[in-house]
Amino acid sequence: MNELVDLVRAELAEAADAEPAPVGLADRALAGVRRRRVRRAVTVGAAGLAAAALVGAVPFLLPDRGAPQDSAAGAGQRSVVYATTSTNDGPWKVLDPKTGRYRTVDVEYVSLPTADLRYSMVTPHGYRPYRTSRIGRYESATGQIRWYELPAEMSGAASISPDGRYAAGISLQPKASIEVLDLSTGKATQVDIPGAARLKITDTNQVLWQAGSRHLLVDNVVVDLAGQVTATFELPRATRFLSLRPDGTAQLVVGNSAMPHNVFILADQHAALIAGVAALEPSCHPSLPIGPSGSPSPGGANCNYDFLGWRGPESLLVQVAFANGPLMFELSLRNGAMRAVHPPIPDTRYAGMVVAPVVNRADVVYSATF
Amino acid sequence: VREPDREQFREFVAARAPRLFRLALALTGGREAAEDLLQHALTQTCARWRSVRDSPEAYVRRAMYHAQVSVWRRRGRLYEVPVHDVPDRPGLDETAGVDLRLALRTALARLGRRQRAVLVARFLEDLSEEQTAELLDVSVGTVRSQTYRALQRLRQVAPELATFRLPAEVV
Repeated sequence: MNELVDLVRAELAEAADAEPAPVGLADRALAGVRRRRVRRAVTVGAAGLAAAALVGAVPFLLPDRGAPQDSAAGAGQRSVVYATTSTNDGPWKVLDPKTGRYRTVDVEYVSLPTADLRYSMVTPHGYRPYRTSRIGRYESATGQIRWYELPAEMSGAASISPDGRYAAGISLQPKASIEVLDLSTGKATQVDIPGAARLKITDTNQVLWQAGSRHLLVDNVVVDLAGQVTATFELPRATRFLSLRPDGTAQLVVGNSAMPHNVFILADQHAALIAGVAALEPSCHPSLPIGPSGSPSPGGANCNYDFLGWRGPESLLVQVAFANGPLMFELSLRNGAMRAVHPPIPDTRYAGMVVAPVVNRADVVYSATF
Repeated sequence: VREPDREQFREFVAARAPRLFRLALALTGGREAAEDLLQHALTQTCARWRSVRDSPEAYVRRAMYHAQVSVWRRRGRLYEVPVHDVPDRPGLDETAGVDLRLALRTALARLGRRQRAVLVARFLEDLSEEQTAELLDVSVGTVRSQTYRALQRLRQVAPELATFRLPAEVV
């Protein structure tokens, strides 16, 4: 073998043969068609949400924390719909937290906001997919955007630190690294990605800031701003990563194709299971009853539950498609309780949504929260 | 979708999923992205089943190529965090070949989507330049130049590949 093409051919073949095909593709496609039609035809508003009945969930890996509670563990925690878009590419409607109104912002992408909802990162239209050398900091109260030119193209969307001081994203030039931008000075620095994680980085990776604004999660590795690894999260078998718990001590994962799509698992850094629930919805009947060994085969196994965000340390916000449109629920990881929640949504149709926790409720008009 | 069509669609997917998923893996380089890509294409196919059921596989393949190269398919739409696993490689040579293959794997992951798609069509699927051009809705000249640039790019990203020849037909 002395031609590059032969080597490429062998490598592509090996990549293609590396994994067996997932199960349930046809049923998920059929469900997807239903969702698309529902999204096109049905409005999603308070009336539709109010029609939601309470649904149940099955906890199958409960920690020893006493008897299950009646209500979801996150009750009392509030959230806001920070931004929505009715297409995949914007424009977006972004919340002004002081008035509760939404302002139209014609950008391609809006990030999760800072902890006080004051700022978020935005990406302009028209740049090459997954590559941009220009990002903006959007100010929720004024609608103004401060633009920054980056020395190296950023791959994937930028995220903003909870304190609003930094933005970060993946740069692939000259090698995979984290590009950190000081939003006050406009100065960008490159933070090395540890070798093991660097191999996995592609243009779809995002950098997630941790509470405290001094640590970043990339792939399964937490690094500080000097590039030192402070934690590595090992994925439980047959799962994929969704999020870190807000305190950074546990990871939320969902099953890959070998597991039902309604199972959420909380695991520690070493992949040991802490808790897990299988969300159930009576009207979302399974046509593909599969379940992990030793767990129940839940009724909602064929529903796609989208993770929207955390609702406190032990509860999630999830969304699931129903016949009348997508509905949002608070799901307790502690006892499996599910409760419909009714967010004020600026558009009756949406394709993308940013949901953020409300840390300091005094700064946010109450009517915008849910 | 009516029940007979649903059954027909299920049969099609059951029979062709391994082959289609193989292509999705080659196009994306990772399981999650591949699953997402194939799911997207199958959903499109299912929605148009009556008009494409005579040759659904061709439609799915085309949908995957086009979705991969021409659309910013927003990941993390609802802020799930994408974790892009490059497949593990048990059974690699344990000598210098490992470094070479790792370098190539990394370099392939750095290619643009269109360039990777052209390499997959030409060298994994063994399509001709004309067939590739038709599949991607581009000219034969574009296929030729994209192929050349992709191979050049691999050698730039992974200097270890510099000693490997470029084929005469793309130089």
